[in-house]
Amino acid sequence: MGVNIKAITKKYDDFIAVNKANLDIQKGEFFTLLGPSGCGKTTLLRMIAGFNEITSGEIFVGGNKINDTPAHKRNIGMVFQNYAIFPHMSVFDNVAYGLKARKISKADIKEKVLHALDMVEMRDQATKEPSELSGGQQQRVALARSIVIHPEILLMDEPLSNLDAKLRVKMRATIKKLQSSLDITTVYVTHDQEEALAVSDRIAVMYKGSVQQIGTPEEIYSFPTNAFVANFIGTSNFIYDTKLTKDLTKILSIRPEDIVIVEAGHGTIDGKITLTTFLGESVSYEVELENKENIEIKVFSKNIEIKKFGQKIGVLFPEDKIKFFNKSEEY
Amino acid sequence: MKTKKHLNFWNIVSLISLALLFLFLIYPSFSLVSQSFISSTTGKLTLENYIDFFSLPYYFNSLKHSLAVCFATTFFATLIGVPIAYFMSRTNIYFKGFLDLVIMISLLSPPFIGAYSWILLLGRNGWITNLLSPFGIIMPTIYGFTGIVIVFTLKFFPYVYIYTSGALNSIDASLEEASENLGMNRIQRLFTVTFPLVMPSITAGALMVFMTSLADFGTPMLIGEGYKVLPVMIYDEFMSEMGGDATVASTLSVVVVACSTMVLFIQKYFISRKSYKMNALRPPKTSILKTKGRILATIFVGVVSFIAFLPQIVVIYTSFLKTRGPLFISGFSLDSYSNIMNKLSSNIYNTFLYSIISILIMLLLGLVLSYIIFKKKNRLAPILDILIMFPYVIPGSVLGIGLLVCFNKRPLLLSGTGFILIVSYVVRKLAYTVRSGTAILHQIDPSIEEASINLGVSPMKTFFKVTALMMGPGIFSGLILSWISTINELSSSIILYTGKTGTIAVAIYTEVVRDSFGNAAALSTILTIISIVSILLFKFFSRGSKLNI
Repeated sequence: MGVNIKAITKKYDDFIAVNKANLDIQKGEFFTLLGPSGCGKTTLLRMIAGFNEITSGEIFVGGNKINDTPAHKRNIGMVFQNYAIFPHMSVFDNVAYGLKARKISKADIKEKVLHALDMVEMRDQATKEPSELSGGQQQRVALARSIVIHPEILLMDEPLSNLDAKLRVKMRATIKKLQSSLDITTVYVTHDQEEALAVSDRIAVMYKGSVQQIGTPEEIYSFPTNAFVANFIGTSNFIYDTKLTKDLTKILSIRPEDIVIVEAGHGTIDGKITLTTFLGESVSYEVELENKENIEIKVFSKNIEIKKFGQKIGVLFPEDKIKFFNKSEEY
Repeated sequence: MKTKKHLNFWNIVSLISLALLFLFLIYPSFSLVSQSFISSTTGKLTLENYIDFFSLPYYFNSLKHSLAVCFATTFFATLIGVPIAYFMSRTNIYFKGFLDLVIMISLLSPPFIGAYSWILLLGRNGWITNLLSPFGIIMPTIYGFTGIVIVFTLKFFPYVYIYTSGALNSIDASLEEASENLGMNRIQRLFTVTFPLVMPSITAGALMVFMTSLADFGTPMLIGEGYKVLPVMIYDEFMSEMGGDATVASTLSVVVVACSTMVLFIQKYFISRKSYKMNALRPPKTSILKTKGRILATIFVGVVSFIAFLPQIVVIYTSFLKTRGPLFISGFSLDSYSNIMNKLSSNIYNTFLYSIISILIMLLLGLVLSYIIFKKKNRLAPILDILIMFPYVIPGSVLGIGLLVCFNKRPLLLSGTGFILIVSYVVRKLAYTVRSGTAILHQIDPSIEEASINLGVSPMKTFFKVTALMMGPGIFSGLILSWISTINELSSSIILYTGKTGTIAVAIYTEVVRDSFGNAAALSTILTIISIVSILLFKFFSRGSKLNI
C-alpha cells in the first residue's frame, strides 16, 4: 500500500514539531525520514503509527484516510528503537502476540511464527527468554514480530542505533533484503546519513519540522537544494567571500572531495595548510584561505605527496562542482 | 491515541475511587475537624476545645509527651540506623544476609509485641528484674518515657537502616574515587561526599520513624502507664465519650494530624529539595575490614539486631510455657494454643478473612490507580495521588474514630461490621501498593505498551496483558508490606472492632490487659510466624531484591 501524507502538522503548545509535511510514498518503496535529532522525523513516524495525535493534515494508507483509526486497528507494523520486546514472554510468544490479537488458529499461528523466525534466522531460538538474547537477536525478534502480522506498512524508528558499528552494517543489509523480498512499503527513521543512503529508495531530509528535500540517495547527495541538505548529507564547505560568490545574497558551496589542490597562484584562490589528518584511504586538510576563511579538502591518499603544516597551496574550485545557495536559507 | 469518550475504563475507575476516598477518607476526616470546632455543651461553633487543649496541662502534656518521645526516638534510631547501614552496605562484615533478614523481621513484626516482651523481661515482675534483684541490682524502670523510647527505637531504627543503605548502594563508585583522586582520605570522603549524598535518605528514614512513633498506639498504651501520649489520650477520651459527640477526641486528632503534616512538610521542603537522582552504574566498593575490625563491626550490628529481635524470641518461648491464670509455672505445654483455639478462633478467622479481602482490593486498586497516577490518564489523577498518600499523616486511631463517628447511624450503618475494618485497612495501607506500582512503572519503557497496541491489541487489553503482568513483581513487594502491616494492625481495629469482629491484634491487646500473657504470647507467635513466612516468601520470589518501603 502507498502512503500519502498531506500537509500534516503537529504542534505542542507553541512548538511546531512537524510543519505541513507532504509525502507520497509508493507501494513497496523503502522510504527514509532523515534529519538531526529534534527535526520531527520520529514525531511524523508516530503520527503514522497512531501514537501521536495529528494537529492538522491527513494521512492516507492505500487511499483510505486513517486519521481517526485507533492505533491498534491500523495494521501498521513498527520496530521500536529499543525493540520493545515483551520481557515476560518467550521469543515465540513475542512473535505470536499480534497473531493472537487477530484470532488466528493455534496451528496457523505456529506455522506463521516459525516462518517469520526463519526469515530473520531465529527459528532455533524460539523457546528462549528475551533476557537470554543479545541486542542483535532482540532486533531480529522485533523485526519478525512486526512482519508476521502482514502489516500494510512497516515503520522503523532508528532500529539500528543501539547496535555496534559492525552489527549495524550487517543488520541493515538484512533489513534491506527482507524488505525487498516481502515487497513491503517501509518508512524508516534515522539520523545517520550513511545508513539512509545505503538502504533507501528515496529519502526525505527533515530539519526543524519541515521537509527540506525529497529524492533518491544520488539526487540528494549530488543535487542538494539548500545549504542544510548540502551540509547534512556528506559535508560541504561554505564560502561567504563576495569576490568568489559575485553576489551579495549568495553563498558558495563545494564538497571537500571536489576541490583540487594545484600549485600556488594557479587555482581559484591561494591558502595554507593548518592541519593534516591522515585517514587511511584519504587525507583531510584544513586550509586557511587568503581571505581568512577556513575550508576542508579531502584527497585520495594513493600516489600523492602529503602536504605539511604551513605549506602554501593553490585551491581550485571546478566550475561544475560549485553550487550557490541563498544566504537567507542559511542554517 | 486518546479516546474522545469520557466514559472510558480509566475515567470510570478514577471516578469510583475518588468517590470512595471521599466517602471513607475525606468525609470522616472532615467530620472530625468540624466536630473539634463545636462546643460539646452548647452545640455552637467555638474555639473552646482548642483553648482547653492548650491551657489544660492534662491535655497539653500529652502533646509534650508525644513530641519528647518522637524526637528522642528519631534521634536514637538515626544514631543506630546509620552506622548499621554503613557497615552492612560498605564493609565485609559476617552474616550480612542473615542480619538483614533479622532486622527486617523485627521491623515487620506486630508493633506492641515489643512493649509486651520488654515488660516480661524488665517489668516489675520481669525475668531479668527478678534475676538481678537478689544481687541488689535494681534496673531502671521500663515503664513510661524510657520504655516507650527504648521499644520504639529498637522497633523503628530499621527504617533509617533501609533508607540509608539503599542510598549508600546507589552512589556510583566513581564519585568516591574522584574524591580520593582529589586527595581526600577515607574519613574526609565520608563527610564531604558520601554523607551529603545520602542525607536526604537519612532524613526520609528519620521522618518515617517520627511519623510511626507519633501514630503508634499499642506500645505507649502497654508500657507508658501514667505517661500518656496523644494517641493514648485520644483513645481514652474517645472511650469515655462513647455515645457522646467525641469533641475532645476530635480536637486531639486534629492536633496529631497537624503535627505529622508539619513534620512532613518540613522534611519535604527543606531537606528533600536537596535530593539527588542517582543510579550507580558501578556499585560502590566495599571496604575490606581486617579480622579485628570485621569482628567488632559484626558484633555491633549483631548485638543491636539481636536485642531488636529478642521480643519475638521471648514471645515464642512464652507461648509454650505452662500457665495458671496470669502466672507462668514451670514446664512446657500447648495449653495457650488450645486456649486460643477454643476461645479466640473467631479472631484468627477474622484476621485472615479481612486481611485477604483487603489485600485483593488493594491489589486491584493498586495496579489500576498507580497506572492512572503515573500516566496522568485524566484530570483526576493528581487529586487521587494526593488523597492516596494522605493517610500517611493520619494515625490509625484517628481514622478509626472518624469512620465510627460517620458510619454509626443509618443510612450508612457500618459500625460493628467487618466491612468497616476492611475499609480502614484498604484506605490506610493502599499507599504502599500504589507507591510500589508507580516505582515499577518508572522502569517500564512506554514503547513496550506501544508495541502491543501496534500489534493490534487495544490499550485497555494491553494494560492487562502486558503492563499489569510486568508490574507484578514490583506490586508484589508493596503487597507483602501491606499484607504484613494489615494482619498486625491494631490502632484502628481497637476503635472499630466489636465482639464479633475482633482480630488477632485486638485479642493480643485485650489478653495482655487481662493479664492472660500465655494467650497473648500464643496469638503473637501466630502473627510473628505469618510475618516471617511472608518475608521469606518475598525474599524467595523476588530473588534478593529489596523491600521497597
